[in-house]
Amino acid sequence: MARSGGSRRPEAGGPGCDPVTDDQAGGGAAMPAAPDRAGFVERVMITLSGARQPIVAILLAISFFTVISGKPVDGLLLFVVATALAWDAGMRAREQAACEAARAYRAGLAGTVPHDAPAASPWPDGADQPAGAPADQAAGPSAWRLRTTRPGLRVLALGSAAAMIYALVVGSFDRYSWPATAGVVGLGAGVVIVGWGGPTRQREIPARFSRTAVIPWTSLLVVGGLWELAALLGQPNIETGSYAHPTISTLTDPLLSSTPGRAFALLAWIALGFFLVER
Amino acid sequence: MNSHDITVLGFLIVLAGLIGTDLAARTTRAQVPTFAQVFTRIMRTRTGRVGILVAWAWIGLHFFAK
Repeated sequence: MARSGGSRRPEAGGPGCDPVTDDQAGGGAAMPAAPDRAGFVERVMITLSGARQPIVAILLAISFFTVISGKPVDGLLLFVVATALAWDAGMRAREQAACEAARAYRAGLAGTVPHDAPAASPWPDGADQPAGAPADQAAGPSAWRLRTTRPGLRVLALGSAAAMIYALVVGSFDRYSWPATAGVVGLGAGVVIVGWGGPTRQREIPARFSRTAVIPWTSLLVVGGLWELAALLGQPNIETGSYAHPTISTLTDPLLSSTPGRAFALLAWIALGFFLVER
Repeated sequence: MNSHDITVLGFLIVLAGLIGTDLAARTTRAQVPTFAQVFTRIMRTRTGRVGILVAWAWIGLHFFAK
């Protein structure tokens, strides 16, 4: 079981990277080094390289539509998070590239370049993980003690009871009220912090999917997003719902107008969060 | 069928597509990953993990928070 604390930033490119030192190089030779402090322009370039991550692009799109929907603060917060993630992904890609360069440099010093030396991943976060690699290797060290199985029945029962109480209490508050906001922000922030610490469960990571394999999922995501956008643009204005062109928000308004409906929706939201944290 | 019905039908078709794709991935030999496998794969990195969880948190904020 992998368990680590403190900074999770991999040293000079992460596990398995053993950068060449001046002593090893015989001194005086130019040596690839791990990235150090970056200037402003370089920081921007690193962030832009990380923005190629699909999830970052999706968050930026959500941020944009949140802003034009009349919630500029929410949109700005999302933008900040997306930018931070882009920076993190860009830094990882940079460190990995430095690591690979150091490896190649050392191989060159030894007079041979191994044919099986892995090339730097074209993906910002090293997407070419080996199939079936354990989660603690593929995802890096985790701040949490990794479980190998589902939570026990007692934990599940306690968690379900807590989720029910939470949903009933928060669901009893009016939508868009400060108590409801505090409840949702508190749980959401807590789960994101848990996610930042790494996985909570050891899982076998599926091998990288082929492009054709993910076409159904990406197609549905794109079609669903465009359909929602078309409905949004069909409204009288961006902040006013339309019966003729209802968005998902408009369609869920009747459900969320009652306490039982809000409690049910909150339970579904928590269940989705549990499913995601367990990945 | 008016524009309201057509819009709702579109969402239902996408929802049916999501459920059908997952069922097909689980029950047939189609080379399509399941919904869970897709998210396990996306969330193997910190960027993917935090990004997905932020999107999940945003759903809660969007429907309930000020």
